[in-house]
Amino acid sequence: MTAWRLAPLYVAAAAFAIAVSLPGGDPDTYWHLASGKWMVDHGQLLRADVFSSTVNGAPYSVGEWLGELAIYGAYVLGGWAGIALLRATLIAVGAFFITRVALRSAPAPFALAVTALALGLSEISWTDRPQLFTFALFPLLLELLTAARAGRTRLLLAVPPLILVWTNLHGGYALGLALVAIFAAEAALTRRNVVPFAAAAVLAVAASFIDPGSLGLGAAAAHAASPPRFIVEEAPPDVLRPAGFVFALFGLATLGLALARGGTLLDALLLVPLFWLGLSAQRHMPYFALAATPYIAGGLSELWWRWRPSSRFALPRPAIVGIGVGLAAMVAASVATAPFAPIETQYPTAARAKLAATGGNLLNEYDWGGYLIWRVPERPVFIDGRLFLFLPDVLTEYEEMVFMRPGWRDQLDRHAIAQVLLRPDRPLAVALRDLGWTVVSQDATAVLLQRPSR
Amino acid sequence: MRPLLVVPLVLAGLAAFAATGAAVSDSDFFWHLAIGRDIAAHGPPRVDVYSWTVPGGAVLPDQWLGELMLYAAYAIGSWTGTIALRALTVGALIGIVVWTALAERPHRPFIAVMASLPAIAVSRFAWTDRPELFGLLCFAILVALLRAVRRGSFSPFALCVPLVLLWTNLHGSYALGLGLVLVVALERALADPSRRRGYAAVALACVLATFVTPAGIATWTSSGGHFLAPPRYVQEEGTPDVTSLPGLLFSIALLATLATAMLAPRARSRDVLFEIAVLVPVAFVSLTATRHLVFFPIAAAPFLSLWGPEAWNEGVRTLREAWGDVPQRVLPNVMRTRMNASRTRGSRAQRDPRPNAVEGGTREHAMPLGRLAANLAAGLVAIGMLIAGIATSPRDPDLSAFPIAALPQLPAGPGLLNRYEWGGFLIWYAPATPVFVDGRLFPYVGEPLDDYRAVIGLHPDWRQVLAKRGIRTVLVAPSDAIAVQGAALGWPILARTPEWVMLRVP
Repeated sequence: MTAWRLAPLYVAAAAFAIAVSLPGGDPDTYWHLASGKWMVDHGQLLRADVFSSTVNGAPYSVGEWLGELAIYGAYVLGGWAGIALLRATLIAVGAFFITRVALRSAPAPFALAVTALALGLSEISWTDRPQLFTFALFPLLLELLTAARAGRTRLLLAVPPLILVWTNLHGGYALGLALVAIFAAEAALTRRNVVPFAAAAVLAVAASFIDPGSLGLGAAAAHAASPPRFIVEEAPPDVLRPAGFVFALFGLATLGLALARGGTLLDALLLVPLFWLGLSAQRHMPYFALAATPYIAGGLSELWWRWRPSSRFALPRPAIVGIGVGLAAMVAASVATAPFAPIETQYPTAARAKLAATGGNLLNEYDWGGYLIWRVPERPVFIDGRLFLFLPDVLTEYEEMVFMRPGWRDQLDRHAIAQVLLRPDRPLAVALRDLGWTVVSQDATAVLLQRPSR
Repeated sequence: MRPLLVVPLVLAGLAAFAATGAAVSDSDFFWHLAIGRDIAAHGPPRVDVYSWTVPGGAVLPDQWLGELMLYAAYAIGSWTGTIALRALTVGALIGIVVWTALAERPHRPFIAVMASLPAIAVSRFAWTDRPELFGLLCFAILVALLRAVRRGSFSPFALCVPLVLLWTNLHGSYALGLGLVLVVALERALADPSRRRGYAAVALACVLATFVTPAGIATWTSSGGHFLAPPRYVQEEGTPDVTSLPGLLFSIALLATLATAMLAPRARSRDVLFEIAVLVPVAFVSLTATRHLVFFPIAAAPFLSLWGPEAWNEGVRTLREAWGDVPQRVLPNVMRTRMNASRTRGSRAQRDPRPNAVEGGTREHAMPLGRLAANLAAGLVAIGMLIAGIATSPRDPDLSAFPIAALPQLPAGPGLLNRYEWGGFLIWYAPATPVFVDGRLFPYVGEPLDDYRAVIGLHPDWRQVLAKRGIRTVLVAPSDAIAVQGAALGWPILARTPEWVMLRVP
C-alpha cells in the first residue's frame, strides 16, 4: 500500500472538518425537520399537508420520508449539533468516494487538486436537507460502477439496494438511475459485461418503485426540464459568479481536454448529459463537476507527463503521518468549536412572539415559510419551500399580492389575510402602510402588518 | 478544392427572405435610429440629449458607424430600407456561416448544413435592427478568416486588421474578435514559427485598430465593463437558460462539440491547439449572457462539419468491433445501409483524415465554367429571394408593444416617468418629451436607474423619489406596482389600454 492510498481518508477528514463548522439555517431544513417530527409523533407517513392555511389537507409527496426521518433523528439525538454532524458525515462520505474515483484515473496530486476544486464548488449544496444523501450516494455509486467496469462485477450486487435506499431518501435517486443506465449502455455498446450491468440496471429501476412517495422518474425529469427559476438554486449558472465560474472551469477544461486527448465512449455518455444538467440549474452544477473530476485529473496528468516525463510524486512517511495527525486535530477542533446553532438573522425573529400571540390567516414571505413552520407551529403558513404543493394557484396568488399586481386586494380578501409578514421593501408592505394597516413589529429584516379592524 | 457556393448562397437567400418577414419593432432600434440621425447631422454624439434625468451627461459613441448605417438605410428606403439592411446582413451572416462549415468539408454540403443548423437557428434570436447584428456578421467573417489561417494561409490573417477596425466602430462585440485574434496569433506563432513576426505584427495592428474610433480608449472600458458585469435585469443580459429555445440550441452545439472532440480520434491532430484557442474562450463568452449564446454555435460549425462525421464513424466502428455482424442482422434495412455508407466513408477518411490538409498553403484550382455558372445561378436565386422578401415585407413598423395612443397626450418637457423598454420608442416618436430612462442603460446606471426601480417597483422611498425628481406623469404597464398603487390612491388616469396606463401624479 502506498501512502497515497490514504488520500481519500484525508480528503474526507478535511471535508468533514470544514462542513461541520459551517452554520446551518437553510429555510428548507425547518420544514423537513417538522415533517420528520410529525411522522415520529403520529407514527405514520405524512401524506397530506398539515402546515399551511392554503393547501391544508392536500396530498403531500412522501418521496423523501426516510431522509426527513434521518434528519429529525439526528436532531433528536444531538440537537443542531446532531444535524451538523450528519451533514459533515455525509459530505465526508461523498468526498471519500469521489477521491477514490479520481485516484483510479490520475496520480494523487492531480486527483486531489481537481477533487478539492469540485468539492469547493459543491459547497453550494451543503445544506441540511435530504439532498445531502444524494451528495454522498452519487460518488459512492460512481465508485461502485467504475470498480465493476474495471472487473469487480460482484460489486453490482450492491447497486439495487443502494437505489432502493436512495429512492426513499431523496428525489436525486433519478441521477443514480441515470448513472446505472449510462454504464449499462456503455457495457451493451462495447459488449463487455453486458449481462451484469443490464441486470443491475433492471433491478435498480425495479427497486426505485419501492417507495411510498409519488415522486417518479417523470416528475424528476419534468423538474430538470423546467426548473422554477425564481428560486436561486434553480436558476441557471452565472459563470461570472464564483460558483458558476468554477463550474465553467470544469466545463471548459473538459472541452479543452477532449479536444487535446479525446475520451472514451463512457466519458462521452457520462459527461455530455451531466454537463447539460449542470447548465440547467445551479443546484446540479456539483454533479457534473464530481463526474468530470476523474476525466480532468487524468487529462491533466497525461499532459503533465508529456511535458515532464520523469516527474515523480512521493511524500516521505513522516509527512504522511504529520498530515494525518494535523487533520485529526483539525477535525477535533472543528467539532469542538463549531457554531452548531443555525444562524437566523435572515428570518423574522423579532416578529415571532407577536405571531405566536395572535391569530388569523397569515401571508408570509416564501423564504420564511419553513422557519415559521418550525418556530411558530401554531400559525399555519401561506406558502413555504415545499413549492410543488403550491403550484400553480397559490404561488400565482402569492405573487399577485406581494408584487401588487392588479387584483391583489381581492386575493387578500379572498384568503381573509389578517396579517402580512414580509420584507420591508416589498411593494405590498409599502402599500399597506399607506392604506392604514398597523405595524405590529418591524426590524431591518421583516415587517408584520395587521389588517385594520372595520 | 474550392467549395461550391450554391448551398451557402441559397441558404443566404432563404435566410434573407425569412428575415424580411418581421416588421420593425425592436425597442432599442428607435434610439439607435435617433442617434444615427443626429450623427448624420452633427457627427458622433458626446452628451445625452434625449433624457431629462441625465441631460448633458457623457455618452459613448462606440456604435456610431452601426447607428449611421441604420439611419442611412432608413433615410434611403424608410422602414423598408431598414428591413432590407437587416435582410442583407442576415443573408450574409448565414451564407458565411455555412460557407465556413463547407470549406472544411467541401464534398459534404449536407454535413456542413447540419453543422451550421444550431448557429442558424440561434442567430434567429439576434435578427434585430441593431448594430449588434453587424457585430455578429463581423464575428462570422472573423471565424472564416481564422479557419483559413488554420488551413495554412497567412493573408486572411492580415485581413483581420481592417475587419477589427470596422468592427470597433460598429459594435462593442469587437472585443471578442480582438481577443480571438490575439489568442490565435499566439497559437499560430507556436505552430508556425517561421511567420512568428507576421502574426505578432497583425495582432499588434489589431490592438491599435481598436483605438481608431471616436470613443477612443473608452470603448475598451465599455466593452470590458459590459462583459464582466452584465446588467442581469435586462432579459437578454440574463444568464443563459438551456431550457429555453435559444439555450437549448446553444447546448446542442456545445454538447455536440464536446462529444465530437471526445470521440473523433483524428480531431487530435496538429491543429488541436487552434481548436482549443478558438472554441474554449468563445464557449466561455457564450455562457456569460443570453445575448452571447449565438457566438459559440457559429465558431463550432466548421469544427462540427470537419470532425462530426469522424466521431460518428468512430462510434459505428466501436459498435462493429464489439458486435461484429450482429447489427447487420438485427437492424432494419435503412440503418444497415447507413452503417455501410459510414463504413465506406470511414475508410475514405482513413486515407485522407483532414479533408483540406492537401490544400494547406497551396494555390487552389481554377474554377471550371460549370461551377462558375452554378455559383452565379445560386447567387441570382439568392438575390431574387432577397428582392422578393423586401418587396413583400411589412411597410410599417409594428408598434403594438408600445403606447402609441398615449403620444398625443404626452406632456412636453421634463417630468415623465416611462417604462424602460418604451424609452427608445418615445425618443423617436415623442422628441418633445424627454425620457426618464431608455435602453441605452449605461448613462442611467446609478441613481437614475435606482430611482426608476424605486418608483416603478414601489420601494419604501418611492414617494421621496417622486418628489425629488419632480415626476408629474407616469406611463407604465397596468400591472406595475406604481400603477396599481396610483389607482388605489386615486391618481387621475389620463389614458389607459390593457397594455399601458398613463397617470397624473397629484
